[in-house]
Amino acid sequence: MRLVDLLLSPVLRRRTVGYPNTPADSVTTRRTPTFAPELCTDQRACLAVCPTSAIRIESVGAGQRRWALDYGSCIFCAECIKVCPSDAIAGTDRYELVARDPAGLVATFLVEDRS
Amino acid sequence: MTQPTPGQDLATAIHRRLRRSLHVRHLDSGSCNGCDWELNSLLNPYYDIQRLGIDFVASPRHADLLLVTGVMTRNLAEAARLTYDAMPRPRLVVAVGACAVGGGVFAQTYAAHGSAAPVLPVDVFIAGCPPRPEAVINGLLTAVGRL
Repeated sequence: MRLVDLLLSPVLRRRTVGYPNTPADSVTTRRTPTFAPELCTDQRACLAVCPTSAIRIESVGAGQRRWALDYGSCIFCAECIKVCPSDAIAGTDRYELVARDPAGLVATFLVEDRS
Repeated sequence: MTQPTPGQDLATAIHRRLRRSLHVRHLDSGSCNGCDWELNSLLNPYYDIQRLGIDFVASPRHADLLLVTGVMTRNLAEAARLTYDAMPRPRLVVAVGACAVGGGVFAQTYAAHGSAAPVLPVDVFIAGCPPRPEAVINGLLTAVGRL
């Protein structure tokens, strides 16, 4: 096989992406955190480890708290995913994080307090 | 007749509203260069943003849209304001990356104002550290809808 054939082979040939007509064809290596409220045990390790204070936890009335992650501040370091003792925070491939208002980049989850 | 694809929709929307291509000026207001490299890659053959009728220009006077990367430093806040003032109307501002959107890791330093929003009227915010080039294309698509 000649070198030029190798370079033009489908494995090495990289074509222009189809985006926005087709989704991105590779996944991000830096994971976008997402939250599973039913797994959270309120140990707040994520809160302590977040370098940009993108995570906020506040109590809302009786027996509930709100877990919020501001993707606008998040630097996708995945420390919260690593440190969570109950695996409530997981990494996803989501990358289309666009909003017309910074508040639109905040993901909020309601968590029931366990007692 | 086939359904128009999102890419064709974007090109049509740009042409309908501007009667020409969307010209983008990139403004670094104190970036670590991570976002800047992602914006650079939009022009390479792999992402090829010119296929969508979008191009980068060298002066805000030629631009329809300002892409702001990096935390807004005190030293560059005035320059950012002057850049915006030099742009012809209609004009758009898009904040790219965690620093321009929410201050990011540099939000608390003495040398920075924080996010771009208090200094410039930002229309669209693109999160990511840095955002993928696809995310930037997605943000431009959203911004063009605002014209």
